Amino acid sequence: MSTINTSTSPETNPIAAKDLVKHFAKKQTLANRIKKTPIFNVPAVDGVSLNIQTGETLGLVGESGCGKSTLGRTLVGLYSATSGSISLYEKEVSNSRTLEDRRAVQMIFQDPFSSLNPRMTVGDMLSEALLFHKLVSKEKVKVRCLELLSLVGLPADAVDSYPRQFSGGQRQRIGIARALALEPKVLIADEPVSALDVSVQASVVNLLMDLKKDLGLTMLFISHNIAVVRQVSDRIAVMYLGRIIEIGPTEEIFRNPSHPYTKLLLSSVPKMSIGSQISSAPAGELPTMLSAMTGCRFRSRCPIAISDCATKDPQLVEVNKTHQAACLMVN
Amino acid sequence: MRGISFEVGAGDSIGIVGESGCGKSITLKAILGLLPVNAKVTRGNIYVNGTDVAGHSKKERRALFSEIAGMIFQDAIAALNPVITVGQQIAEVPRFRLGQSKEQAHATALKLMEQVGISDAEHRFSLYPHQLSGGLRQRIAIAIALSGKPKVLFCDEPTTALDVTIQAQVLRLLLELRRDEGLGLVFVTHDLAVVNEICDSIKVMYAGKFIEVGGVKDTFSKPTHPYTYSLLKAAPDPDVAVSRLFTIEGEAPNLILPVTGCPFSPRCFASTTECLAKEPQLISIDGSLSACFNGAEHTKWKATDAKSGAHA
Amino acid sequence: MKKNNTLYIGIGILSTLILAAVFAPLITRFDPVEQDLMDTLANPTWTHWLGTDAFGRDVFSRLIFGARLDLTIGIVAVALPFIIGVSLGLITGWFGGRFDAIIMRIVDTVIAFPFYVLAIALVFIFGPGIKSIIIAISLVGWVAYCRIVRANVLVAKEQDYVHAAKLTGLPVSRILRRHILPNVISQAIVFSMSDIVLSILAIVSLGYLGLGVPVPTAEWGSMIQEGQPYLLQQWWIPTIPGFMVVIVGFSLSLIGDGLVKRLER
Repeated sequence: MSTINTSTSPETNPIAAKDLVKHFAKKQTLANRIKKTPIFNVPAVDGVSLNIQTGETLGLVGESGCGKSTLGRTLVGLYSATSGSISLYEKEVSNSRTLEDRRAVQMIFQDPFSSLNPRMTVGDMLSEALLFHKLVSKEKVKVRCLELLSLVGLPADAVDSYPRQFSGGQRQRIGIARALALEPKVLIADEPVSALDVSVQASVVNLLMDLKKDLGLTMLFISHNIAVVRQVSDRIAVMYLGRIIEIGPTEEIFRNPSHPYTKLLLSSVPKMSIGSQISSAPAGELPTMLSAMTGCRFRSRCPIAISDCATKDPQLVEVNKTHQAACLMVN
Repeated sequence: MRGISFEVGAGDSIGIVGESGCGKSITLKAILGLLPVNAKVTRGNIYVNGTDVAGHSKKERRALFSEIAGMIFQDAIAALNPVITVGQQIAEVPRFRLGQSKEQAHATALKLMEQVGISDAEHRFSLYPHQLSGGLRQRIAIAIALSGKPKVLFCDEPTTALDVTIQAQVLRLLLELRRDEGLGLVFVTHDLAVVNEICDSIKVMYAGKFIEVGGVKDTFSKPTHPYTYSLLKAAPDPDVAVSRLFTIEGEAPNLILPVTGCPFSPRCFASTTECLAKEPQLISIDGSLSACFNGAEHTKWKATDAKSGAHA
Repeated sequence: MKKNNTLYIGIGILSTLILAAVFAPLITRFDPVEQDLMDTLANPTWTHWLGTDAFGRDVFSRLIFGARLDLTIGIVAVALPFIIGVSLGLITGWFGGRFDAIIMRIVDTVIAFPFYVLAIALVFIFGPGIKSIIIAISLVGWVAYCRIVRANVLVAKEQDYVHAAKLTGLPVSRILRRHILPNVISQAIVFSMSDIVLSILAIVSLGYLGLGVPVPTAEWGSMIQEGQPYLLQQWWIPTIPGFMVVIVGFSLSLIGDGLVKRLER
């Protein structure tokens, strides 16, 4: 897919991807091998090109199966890319990452209950990362742990406590402290508040925003919750079936969504304004035989599909200087 | 649950909202007789068509309720039997409770599947739950609930696990059922925006009790309880970006410990000394019910809060 | 936190037995193999607390010294399978692939194999005695631990805290040691409690079959076998050793249950 550069100086992009593809190989059973059935790989991320600009929060939205979580995990280095490239400050890291590379990008996870080792104290968790990367000496490590805890609004006695002694919101804060321990430049937050109550969500989101500003971080905020994403993002990218189908500044996307899927998504979100009613446009179902599909993958649900949509696979085109959408009907 | 009272009339659409631990799911289960073994209704009455069923055994209560109520749960995959085809599950009640023959029940099931918007019903009748997507499974669950010809549908977070576009479809279906069949809805959720769009009345639950009860439009525009007010402000609005989200300090109380005074007072920005001593009951304020000693002065504390910008 | 009585009672019973076994020479007055053909099959008296057996040996002494043997072998025979099984479980669970497939097929084969057939075969090869028993138990016993740990590793490695450890750049050895192992070992430890009982049962059974330790060493299994003809008169000679196995099993079972409660906290 072509990359239309929206940043002014590409050299400063903390993290960028070009034609990134991530397939998960389906397990080959012995029976399949004997029968020589063709392997159908699931394309979770199917050609994504992205530049995240320094200091911005890029919101990544989409529904289940769109690949946003896989994209986040591939960018952070948990999964290796099937093809395409990932670069950190213009340094190619798709194949291997050094320890410094690892420090540069860190992740905040969704589930407060499985993101912390139940058998380690909070202090141990934080010290492990600090000492392994030799960021502080053994004598100073406890002090640094306390600094990190206060940074995320947790009391000092948390350092000797186990995760089970904390609530969901507090655990997310611990997770944030752990991510920040390595002093990363980029934070990839994978649904960081989706498992939290509304009142707790708000405080964690505020915390992330404050930390981002104070520490000068760049953030990729992945979420299926459109309302939260609107609050935190400078730009928004919308994913559908492994591809980015629209990207642009937040307000622009909300005011002027161009891709039919984005329009469907935004209109389906229940609103808080008085007297709001559910919209009446039907949403259709996801296509079942993806591998056999030619042309635009959204056409089976698209209200404005034309005959060309069955043969041509839309690329991202400009809606205006900062806004692109992958639809043949743009303009 | 520490004292819940409400009525469901024909065609009502009631939203019960609250955060985790407030007791909203347990409320539904207690009413319908689905409590786990270590829970029990210790006091109060439950009237079904005028008959008090609280004293009846759980089995008897379920039998009475099955004639007027249906229920759908959050996780459809757990609510459906994995080894029986979905069509057979829908046909089960017509066949074994309503006395229809096998062929009649099959036809009823197909009609129900069409009613809930499942295309290609003939083919999908013989599929198993794991072969269907989340949205379709939830529709099957609704079809099963409808198969007993209920007057009220109890819903426990039915769309929380669904994608937002699928959620919109399911919510639209529920609204249509209400419009076309006069089906009543009791909808338990933590999502205020959903309640805004499909319910007429709202009951806000905190620490096992309703703390505000009223019409959706009134409550959303003029909440009279500080918790409702805070919750409405904390919920992110997809239409408006704010610079900082509204937060509520502290945590919900652990109900293992006895409650003294208003359970929300430790976190309440408008609490007074009276709030710590006695627990307020629901009183009528400006057309809705609110369990707050300072409910009548809601304009005052809202103004103070907005001015101070304390919630940041 | 609720009191964990199960655990403490289990530990109490077992420690009493272990202490008795350790201090055997102090609490018994007779040598367990010393015969007194003038006083065979005596009833319990103040001299011989549990009477004497067919060779005039003091039953109580044989019981306590037998405890030494059976408890020791039971615990030692589980240690090796535990270490082998847990290590293999960690490696196969984490790395998967061909190695995992091969090991799992071996596990399936071993499980299908009848243990006593193998034990008897080994005894014929190596001769009766402690060595054969321990080899037999070790060859077969590791598979349960391997399976248990592997299953838990498969779950643990998908947890986000393990992902976070990977993102920190920690080497695999460290992740396995600090993040995976503590979270997968509790089930194996609980199982080892029942495994000790199973080992003791195996030793006692082999002893009963005459394939255990050589006569005249005191051992519960051989005591049961030797006492069998006298079951109707001096019934205590064969039954009390059996009863000891039950008590050991019971105490270990309590410890196992207590550990489950404690480790799941």
